[in-house]
Amino acid sequence: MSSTLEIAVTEEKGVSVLRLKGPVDANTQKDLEEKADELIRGGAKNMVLDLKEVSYMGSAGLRALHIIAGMFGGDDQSARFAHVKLLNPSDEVRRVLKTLGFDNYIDVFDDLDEAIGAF
Amino acid sequence: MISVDILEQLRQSRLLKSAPKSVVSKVAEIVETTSINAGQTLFEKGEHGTAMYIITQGRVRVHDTDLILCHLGSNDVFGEMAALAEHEVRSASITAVEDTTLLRLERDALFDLISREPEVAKALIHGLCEREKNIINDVTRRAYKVRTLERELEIGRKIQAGFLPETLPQVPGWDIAARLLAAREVAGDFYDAFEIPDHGAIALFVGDVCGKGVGAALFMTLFRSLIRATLISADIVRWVKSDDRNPDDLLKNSPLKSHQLLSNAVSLTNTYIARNHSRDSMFASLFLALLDPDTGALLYINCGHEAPAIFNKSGIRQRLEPTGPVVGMFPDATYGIDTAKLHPDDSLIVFTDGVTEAANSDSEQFSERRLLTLLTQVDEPAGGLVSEVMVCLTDFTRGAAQFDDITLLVVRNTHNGVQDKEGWGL
Repeated sequence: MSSTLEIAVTEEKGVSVLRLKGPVDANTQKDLEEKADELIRGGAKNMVLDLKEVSYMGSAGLRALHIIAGMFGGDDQSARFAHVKLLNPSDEVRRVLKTLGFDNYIDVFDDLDEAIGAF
Repeated sequence: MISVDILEQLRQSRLLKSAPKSVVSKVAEIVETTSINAGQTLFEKGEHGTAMYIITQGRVRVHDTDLILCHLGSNDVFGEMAALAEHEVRSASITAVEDTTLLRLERDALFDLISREPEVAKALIHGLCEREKNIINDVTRRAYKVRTLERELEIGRKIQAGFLPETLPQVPGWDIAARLLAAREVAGDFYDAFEIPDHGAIALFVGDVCGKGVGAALFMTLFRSLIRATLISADIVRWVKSDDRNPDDLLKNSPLKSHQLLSNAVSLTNTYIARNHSRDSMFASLFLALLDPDTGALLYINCGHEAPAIFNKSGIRQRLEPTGPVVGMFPDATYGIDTAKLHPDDSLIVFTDGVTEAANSDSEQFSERRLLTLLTQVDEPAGGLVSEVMVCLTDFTRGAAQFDDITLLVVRNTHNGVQDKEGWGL
């Protein structure tokens, strides 16, 4: 289960786009959180996570999403995921999002422009 | 002409501290000076090496990828194992923390010197023994520390065992069995099964706190306690929530409606943890059900948990899909309640993803498919089925390290009891 997570960051229309490659699990969760923290401290206001090349994302990965969403600050729990959106998760990742009930709280898109436009 | 500096540096090094002057000056003849900048890696674990080093100035870290073993500074020696023993490889990596200057002793030059000057060998052996003594002291110190930590974990494990039921309900006509195998000393999974006082229903639940180890275990105790407390003290919950807080209400033995029992348990737990522990971003998947032992009727809430299965000899009859999100994450979440029925000879199996995601050394997962196939092939009492699944898991993983907590709960309708009663109704 040990593999590395690669994170490529680009900035598009004021939104930080993180292209992830590899597993988002208990081992790699920290890397993702650190990168997000770095970007948010650097002023990032909104983030899209491109999950097209994510090989695996379980409960640890979803927990990381919650942690990252919380880094944007604000006490409004109902709008916690306002600044983080997901792009192109695989069928398996979609299944996990649905089973755990995250699909009602975090927006998922098939198209990057649509995702960026939704902020 | 050998610089006085090098002589001095060698004399102060931990290798030649007690060596006679003649030996030091002979070693000084074959030594080379070199340096590395801060952040630079001198060599990596696993590489072949032929040189040993003495730090004259600076600081390096000795590490195995991101695990730091120790730091070394002026006068410290390293690399002697790979240098002196021909087929050894570097046992750790060395990376400079500050700009560092070193003296480098090449194997060939050193062995050549030793063959000409036996005194050098003696001095080296003495220096290396000193080094070994320090290493052993360090190992001893760490062993004490590890033992203390292990004792603490053992205490944690014992206390946590108290958070799991000592015995499962013995109800005529029903066979209940469970198994929890922690991946570490303490677990993030939990389960419970008990009769609700003054109500008649059997409460069953299985939960999986995100993660494993100490962090998950601490939250496991919180989740489990909140759910159990809200289920048992249902009357108190109702009384506290009512507008008319008449103490007589608490004494009245009117059973709380089953739907409310379940809803209260989940909402209270969810809201409490989501509001009080939002900083930890912890959550648990949870399957919670009330079983009417007289009719086999099942009332349940599935909070983001792997869908339990109702099955019998002819196959899987029903999957009990999620009716709401995981618990502890979304304070405003609403949870639906669904129903099912366990007919005579039906069994219910509730499991955590530690079962389906158990992997062998080829990284292949046990999978839900294998589990479900196994269920219809085995016609056993609850305890027998649990054992059978555990045996299959062990066979499949063939000794590969257990990655996540494994939990199984099986409830079988053996129809030995009375099945005609009205039951407490749904």
